Amino acid sequence: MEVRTIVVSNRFKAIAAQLHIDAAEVVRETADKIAASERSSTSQRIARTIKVRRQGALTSTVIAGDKTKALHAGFVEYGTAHRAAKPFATPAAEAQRSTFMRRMKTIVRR
Amino acid sequence: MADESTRIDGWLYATLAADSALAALVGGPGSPRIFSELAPSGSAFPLVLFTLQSSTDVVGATESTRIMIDAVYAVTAIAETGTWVGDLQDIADRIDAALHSSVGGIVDSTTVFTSHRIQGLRLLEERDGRQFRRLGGIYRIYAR
Repeated sequence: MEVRTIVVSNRFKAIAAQLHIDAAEVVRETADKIAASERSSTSQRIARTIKVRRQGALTSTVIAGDKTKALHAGFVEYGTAHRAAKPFATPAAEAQRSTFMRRMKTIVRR
Repeated sequence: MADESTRIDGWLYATLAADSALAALVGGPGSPRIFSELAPSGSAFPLVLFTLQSSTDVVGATESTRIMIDAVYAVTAIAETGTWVGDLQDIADRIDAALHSSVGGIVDSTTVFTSHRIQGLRLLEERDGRQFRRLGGIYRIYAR
């Protein structure tokens, strides 16, 4: 006996589109929170250079320091041969890690 | 355990110092130049430095149960050198061999479960016309 399944309509496209929108919001908000946390935990000189670069909807990069000001952001974060580290970026990102993962899981399971 | 990070420091030192090839590159097995946070003033180069970058509690659903801690460390070789290769590279290789995918151990009632590298790290510092290069990685360490 032949069994045929005929799909007359599906919502996969709409679900995928909504997933993309929700995930993008989580990425954007998380990056903003990380940037705000970094600004509040480092020197004003470095804080002024901290910015969020959006690279498409699902990628954001938090950048501290630039080529003309606060060149030393990496040295502050990781220390040098002569100065102890005062991490500000890693703690800010790690603090958002579990919340970010939880929010993403919620979106996918919805 | 109120503070696992100092015990992880102890595990890191013991693990790195136990690598005879690494110890030989940084002063010899008797007193390898492996330091936490900051090398003592006047230390010779090359040396190994590990610094705690962040420490996050992994908690249960009610948040009152601390399951373990998720610690991120920068572990690097530092040398006064004009090149990224040679001893600096050899030391960084030995650090990674000792720590990446390492199973851990027990130090003073703290159990280090695993250690693995999550990214490489490379920094160049110029000071008074002298160049110091730092090569190694960022390691995630789970412990309880």
